[in-house]
Amino acid sequence: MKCSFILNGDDVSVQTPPSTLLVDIIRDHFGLKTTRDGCLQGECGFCSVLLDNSLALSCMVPAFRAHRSEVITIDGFKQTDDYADIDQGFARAQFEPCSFCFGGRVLTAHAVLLFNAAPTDMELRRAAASIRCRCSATTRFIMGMRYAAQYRRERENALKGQTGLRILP
Amino acid sequence: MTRDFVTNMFIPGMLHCTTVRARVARGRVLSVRTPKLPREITIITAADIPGETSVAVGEAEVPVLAAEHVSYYGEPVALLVGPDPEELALLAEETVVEVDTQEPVYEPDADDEDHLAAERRIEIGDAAGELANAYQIVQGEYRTSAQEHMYSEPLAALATWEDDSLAVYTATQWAHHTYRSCSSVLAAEHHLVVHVTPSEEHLDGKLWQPSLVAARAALAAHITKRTVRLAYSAPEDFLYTSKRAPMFASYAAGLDSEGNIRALRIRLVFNMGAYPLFAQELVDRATLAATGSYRCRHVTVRSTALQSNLPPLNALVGLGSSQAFFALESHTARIAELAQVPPHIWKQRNMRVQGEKGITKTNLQRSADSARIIAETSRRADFQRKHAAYELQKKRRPSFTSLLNPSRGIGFAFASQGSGFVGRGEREYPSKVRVRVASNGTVHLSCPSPGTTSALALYWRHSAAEILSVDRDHVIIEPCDSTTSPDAGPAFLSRNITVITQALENACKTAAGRRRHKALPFEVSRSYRLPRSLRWDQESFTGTPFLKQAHAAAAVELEVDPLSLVTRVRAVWMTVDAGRIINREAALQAIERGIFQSLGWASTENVSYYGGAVRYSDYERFGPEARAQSPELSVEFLHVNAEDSACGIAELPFSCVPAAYAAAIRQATGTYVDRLPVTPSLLESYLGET
Repeated sequence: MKCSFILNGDDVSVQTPPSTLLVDIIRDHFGLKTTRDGCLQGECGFCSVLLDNSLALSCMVPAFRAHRSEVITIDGFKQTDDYADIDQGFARAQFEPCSFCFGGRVLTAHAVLLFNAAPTDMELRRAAASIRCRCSATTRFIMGMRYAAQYRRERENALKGQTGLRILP
Repeated sequence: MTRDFVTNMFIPGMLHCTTVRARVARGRVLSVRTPKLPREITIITAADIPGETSVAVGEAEVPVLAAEHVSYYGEPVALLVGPDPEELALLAEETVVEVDTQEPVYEPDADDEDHLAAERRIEIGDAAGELANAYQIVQGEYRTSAQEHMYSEPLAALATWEDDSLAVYTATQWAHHTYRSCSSVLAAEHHLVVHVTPSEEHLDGKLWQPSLVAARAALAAHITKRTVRLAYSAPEDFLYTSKRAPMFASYAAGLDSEGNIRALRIRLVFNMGAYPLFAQELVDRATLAATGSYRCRHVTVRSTALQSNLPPLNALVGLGSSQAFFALESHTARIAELAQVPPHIWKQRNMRVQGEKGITKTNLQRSADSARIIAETSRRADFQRKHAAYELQKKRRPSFTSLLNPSRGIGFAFASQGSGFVGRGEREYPSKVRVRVASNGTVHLSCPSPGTTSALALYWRHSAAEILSVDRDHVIIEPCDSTTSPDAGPAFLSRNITVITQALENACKTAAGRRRHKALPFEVSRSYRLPRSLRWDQESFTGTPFLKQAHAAAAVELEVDPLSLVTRVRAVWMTVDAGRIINREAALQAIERGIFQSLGWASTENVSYYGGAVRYSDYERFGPEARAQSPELSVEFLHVNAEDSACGIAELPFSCVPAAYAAAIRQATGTYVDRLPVTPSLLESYLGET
């Protein structure tokens, strides 16, 4: 099939069998190797991407599902303001994930904040459990997400303030 | 080529390689029958190996491909090489390895001489006599399970042709071992270079296994004359590669009327699977940990490592001592409870003090201020008050299972970590480093050892800059490969932070002296020299066993839900005495990371075997509960002295957190916990018994 989708803001298409995994398309056809192919079973979270602005494990997404959708990988996400919040939050918590799980953790944090701007402890712990990497302490990841949420709220409040609206923290 | 993860490397025309594995745990290989293979697919068996058919690791050897015998379920027997990995996987499934099956032995008898890989016996005083006359004897048996490394990138190697050389890329902790392995397997037919790729957190899982995988990839490249990548999938890695060796321990402690230890009889048995590599090092380290820092004049210790038909089992962040510390600290917690003394007080009373000799008949090292470490941990955790309160709750309630709300407990443990190989073991391994001062004045540290953390690499740069009085930006750490880097031995047992750091600093000092009278460029090579003070007799097992030792205590507070039996860790406190701390933030993160990894081992990371094979369900269930834990962590370093030499600390959480965790579970539930991991189903079975 001809699989057409938006990848990191660009219209792209690739000729591939419909069952080809999105992670393989991203890595092999477009060379975006920072999206890792970890377990290929939806267990480790290393291959996380944003599919139509929702977190998805790209090893579980066949080409026909990605067709006509918008895919943002960690490379594309790093160009956004949303990434800056998470980067700042991680830095403040002195959380330095390894390069293997980095993308998965950042996009997971973003997905949590999309769902709830002030995430609960349980939501943060569930998010932390979804990445199977031993490189760092879960507490720092959770702390990093908490700080990121704070930066995101501050930024959004500032934006709202510019338009005359006021959001309570 | 850029040194990326092997799984990220792609070379046009590259072939893939899949492993054909035995489906029985023990037997004689009769034949390997494949379905009709397409022309582009090559099968490789042991008969195709031009050189050595095994890879030597110390005194033990592991076959590259099983030739006549298979020794564990899943042992590699053949390789299939071709362009399409999916087709290869299907063909490997359809390939039949015909084996004349023999009766496998998964758990050999502890006294079975036929399966003995290594042993250490210590007898000090008259333990039997003292036990016979003891006021009270406390006995216990303890078990720890295997633990999976679960490193980021599964084992992988890529062999490619660069000019006339065969270049092998792999993430290894021991580059020159990988080089020697590939070279001996290929009978030194090609000029060979091994390049070390990033490994991230490996937990000692990439010590010797990459050498085997690299040798297989190199063999496939040699036969096909093409670039070949051999990369395990994550489940394949979980099911068939090495893990932490499980242990059975039996302790008998003879006590006086005040509950202090008079005599100890200890038996440690490790199952090391099919290929017991570093077996003597493992039993020696475990023997040293078996009595810890406790005062005891009458001791009998017998530690054995056994060979079995399970997949290989050996190192995971250290070798053997964490398992022994779990048994020791669980046993001392039991003694303290029977003596009705809070565990931290009992430990303080029974710790050796400076001047008292241990089982190696040497005095404690200067920095080991056990009493202060214990007192500090106890103070920060508010241990005495919490322990008394939870003890009272335990006594007042009718039973744990009748509760509706979670019940709390707090546990305490103390442990040590030795850096480097035991005794004079360092002499058996090279520790060569090289410093080159280039004509433009830049200083090049020829990557002393692979697997260096960024914090340690930063320290090396700072240290070299200071010694040679150059700008830090002018110090460059060269990437590690087998041609240009000197052989620094395995990056294992905290050798990087002790042995290699000292060798590097000595080389820089020599270079600083030479720079005054020698024209640039020049280079200085140095090897680590054991200090004269390190006297060690391997036969009598006496002397100073380690170059440096770090000590730590941990307190773990948790609550157990009486309905689901799920445990939630509320807080972990650790106090570490490791002398000089090179980079406080990096050390803190290493300890925090270790706390989580050890909590996984203690709580949920089960690895069980069925018919000699790791259960696939264990892979699917591997550790999400442990990853969802977010306890409050508090870590403090004592005796931070810039004049001291640095020592390793990564093993400490594994040695003291699990025992403290088990003691806390005991207090919360009222049931003794004598094995790891303490899963809800294990608790259920124990509570059912009580």
